[in-house]
Amino acid sequence: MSDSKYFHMFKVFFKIGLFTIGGGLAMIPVIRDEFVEKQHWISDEDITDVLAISQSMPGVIAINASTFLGYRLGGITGALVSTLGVVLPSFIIILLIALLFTDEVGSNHYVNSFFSGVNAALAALLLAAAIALGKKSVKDYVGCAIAVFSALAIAVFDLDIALVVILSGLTGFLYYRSKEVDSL
Amino acid sequence: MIIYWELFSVFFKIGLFSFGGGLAMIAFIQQEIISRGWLTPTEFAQIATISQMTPGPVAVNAATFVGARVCDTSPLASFMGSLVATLGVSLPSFILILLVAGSLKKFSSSLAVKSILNGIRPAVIGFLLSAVLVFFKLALFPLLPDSSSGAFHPFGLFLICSLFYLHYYRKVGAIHLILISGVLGIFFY
Repeated sequence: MSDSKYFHMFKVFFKIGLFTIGGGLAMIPVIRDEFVEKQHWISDEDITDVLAISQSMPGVIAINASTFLGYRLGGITGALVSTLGVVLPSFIIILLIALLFTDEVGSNHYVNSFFSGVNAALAALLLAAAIALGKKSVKDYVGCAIAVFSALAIAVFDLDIALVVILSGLTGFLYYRSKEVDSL
Repeated sequence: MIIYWELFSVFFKIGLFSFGGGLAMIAFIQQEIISRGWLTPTEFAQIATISQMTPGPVAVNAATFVGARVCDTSPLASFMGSLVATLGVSLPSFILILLVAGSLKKFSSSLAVKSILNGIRPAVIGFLLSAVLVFFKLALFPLLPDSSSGAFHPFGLFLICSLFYLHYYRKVGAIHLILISGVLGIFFY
């Protein structure tokens, strides 16, 4: 593996980080275009693997995908340059914005009204995401109970989200695993 | 120094325990940041919005931004805050993926992993719903500096309903909706 391949991987992931708005799954078509169509470094099957991994592992989907692909293409060094490439544009752009976007700007009347309007969009977007995802991931009464429990645990009882993740994972392990065995 | 370590560990935890990407992570970050009193809900809502509208992964944007705002005593402190928060949120993914990369197919098709994810996915819906509540409150009772703070604003309800309709049924993109609602906000709030 030559240095220029690592540099090329870095460039491609930097471009992906720089131009995909929304991150995560929005990156997949760009990754496919670059690595399957142009470079022939990976196959469409690898892209399916990327999708599987992004859904079964915790964390930032874009980092999961670029670490996994980088590792496939160039081992640990490949994983490192790809992940750095995808994170750097965000880091630089947001740091600049954060330095310019001071408290004074944030409390300006027009800026404040703009963001108050946007809160309505965030509420609507999150609700739409919850419904769309809920249709796929809440399959039975147990799933429904977990969703209600976790919403109450966070919104009303202020429990630690990590604790809720562990409890619901444990419930899933105990309930769905034995259910699968029963049906065999 | 302590604040850097706290930022790192909070974001490491977020990276380690969040499932569902993007918006679900925003819900997680919001809960962690507001319950610690590091930022107000209004400040966090601005960060969430800018993170959605700028390029790159939403969770990385939000981590970088929160790090800079929590440590805003000097530009260097902001840089350090951004650095530790971004490292924190990225490292769990990086380490875990490298650990399973060799046996990925076996891993993601194993019965144990599938059962655990079957339990976690509905919980993520609950996190999203609790974040919806926070933004509902902010849109219906906007905390404007020059108004009687937190008075009920019926315009917010109208806006949420129409934006939901446009996004869910008419498939209008997120960035468009954010821009539309922001401009309407300037006129009506």
